[in-house]
Amino acid sequence: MTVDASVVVEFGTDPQDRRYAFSAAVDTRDAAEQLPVAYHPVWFTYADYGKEPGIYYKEMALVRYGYATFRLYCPASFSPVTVVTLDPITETPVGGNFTFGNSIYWVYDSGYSGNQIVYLGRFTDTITEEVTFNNSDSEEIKYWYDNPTITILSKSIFVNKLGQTVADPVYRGNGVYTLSEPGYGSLFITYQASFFKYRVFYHMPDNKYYYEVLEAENKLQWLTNRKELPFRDLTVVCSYQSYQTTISLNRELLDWNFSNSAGIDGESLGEFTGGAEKTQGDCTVRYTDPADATAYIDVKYYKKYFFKDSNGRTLTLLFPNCT
Amino acid sequence: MPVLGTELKMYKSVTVSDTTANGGYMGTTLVSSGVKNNLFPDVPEAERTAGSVKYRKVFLKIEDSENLALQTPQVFMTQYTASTDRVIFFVGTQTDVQSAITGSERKYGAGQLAADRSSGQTSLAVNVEAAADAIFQNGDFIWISNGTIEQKLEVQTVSWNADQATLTLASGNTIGGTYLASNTVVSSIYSPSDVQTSFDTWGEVGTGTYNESTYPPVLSNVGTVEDTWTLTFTSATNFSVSGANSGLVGTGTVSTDFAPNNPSMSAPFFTIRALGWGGTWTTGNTITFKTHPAAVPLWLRRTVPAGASSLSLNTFKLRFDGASA
Repeated sequence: MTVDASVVVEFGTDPQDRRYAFSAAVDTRDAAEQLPVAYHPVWFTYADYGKEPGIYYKEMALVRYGYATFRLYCPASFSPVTVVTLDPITETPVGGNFTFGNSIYWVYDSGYSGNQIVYLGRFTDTITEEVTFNNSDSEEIKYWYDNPTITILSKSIFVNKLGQTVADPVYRGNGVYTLSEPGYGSLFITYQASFFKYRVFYHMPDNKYYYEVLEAENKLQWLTNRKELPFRDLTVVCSYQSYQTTISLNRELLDWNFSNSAGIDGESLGEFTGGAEKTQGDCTVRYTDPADATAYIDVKYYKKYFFKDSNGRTLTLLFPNCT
Repeated sequence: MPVLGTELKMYKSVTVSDTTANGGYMGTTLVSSGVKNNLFPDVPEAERTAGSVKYRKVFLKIEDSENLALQTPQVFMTQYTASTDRVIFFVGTQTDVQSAITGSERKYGAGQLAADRSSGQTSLAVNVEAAADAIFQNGDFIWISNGTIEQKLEVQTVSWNADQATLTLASGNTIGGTYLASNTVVSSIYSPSDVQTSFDTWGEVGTGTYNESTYPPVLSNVGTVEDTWTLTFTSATNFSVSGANSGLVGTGTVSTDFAPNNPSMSAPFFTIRALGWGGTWTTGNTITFKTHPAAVPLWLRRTVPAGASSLSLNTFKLRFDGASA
């Protein structure tokens, strides 16, 4: 009778005293990787709250949601990486009996959750990096997990503590350069590094809300600096086992200003200098077939804005589902 | 009942270190298959950067309760390390330590099939990690497997081109299936003699006799170890027994079988039969003999080249084959 047995011997050449890179960065290689949130600002009113000065509001009518793309530098074996977004934290403005703060609450309102994160795949890009020896005899590159082939673009001389020239660093593989003794000098290198790529499609509050300038509040120093809060950066958290990193995505706003673009009928609109009127509540507009007066459709709008520019012309904006 | 696969065990040597004293006798610590760091430690970053060579000694032991021999045993690697480090093995002795390693020992290991092979072919090329180890040699037996089918073949000649060995099979040996280079491992086989316990160097000093031919010491696959034993009479009928390595293991008398217990294995080191005694013994008379375990001593050498790539779970596999009654 035959008999056999196997013994599997295991060990690691990847000790825990050396961590892999695990860092996220906004992908800026191509402009198309970032799509700012587009809105058109509308000054629509000012209010007189008795003794208080007039408050100007700037409403943001959303044109498109936008997205951001970022890279996660880590080994390909880090799979699956958990990627989640954190909702901006709701804050309550302070200010005592600051009664007209409802508008401020709006901007902290819910509706930011639901950002969609799409994994785009594993990509490779060229990295340029400076490896500096500062009284050290060993340095490693940032993204060594691929054991890349490294090209030295430029190098200094290398000296020891006494200022004596020593041999150039020796590449030991896996991103490690070593000097024969602690010394000084630097290499400028390039290599290929791979990374995961993700795209975050912003989920903005649906069809609204309000981007407040709060100039008046600032003047009163009631809510200083609060004007930036409505669009705070979106925080994305990436994690894999004992690794975790975060990245802040600046939901850049693109001012989709009708007044500066070709407007209705291709006619350029003038500056809106006279403020705007706003009509609260519903309105219904009937669209009739020019060829058949009996055929029509009623569209119910929930907000309707009238603007007058400096030329006296009127721009009407109708927003469905805008409560 | 024949020897079972579960009765083939791997034990570490009594000394496990990176010093010249590493190795020595078989210890009592089992190497549990598939457990990380069950034999070699991890390679710290500094060591991986600078490179290293480390040795570990193991004993492939038969722990068959019926004391059967493992016949035509074969030892070979079925998986080599995935990282740029490499592991080979070579034959040790029951007692040697690391300082006795000369570097010229015959080495065994595994490599990757270099080109696809199909039925009927009589040669194959194998890529190895270091030709200097010469893990394939003329007259070797090799094991080839793609994970599904496997064969053992005899090699007639080996020629080398850098780290690639071309093996020409001996007459009557042909490839018996399709083996792809991508998934086929080829390894050299070490074929020790049958693995079983034994004793030798029997010597008697005194006026009595013991008939070791008719009543040889009964040895145990489980309990018998490598040692030189001295049985010293303390009277005409009583004696004590100590091992050069094991120390005092007990006292006995000629009127009953004497079976000193190996406490680590819960089995006797050996049994001296009462029927074997003859003549008249006196105080100070001695009997000496050596026992040898049912174990094959091997050295494993791990070489980490300077700047070796990292791998979190590096693995190699060692297989122990044989037959039994």
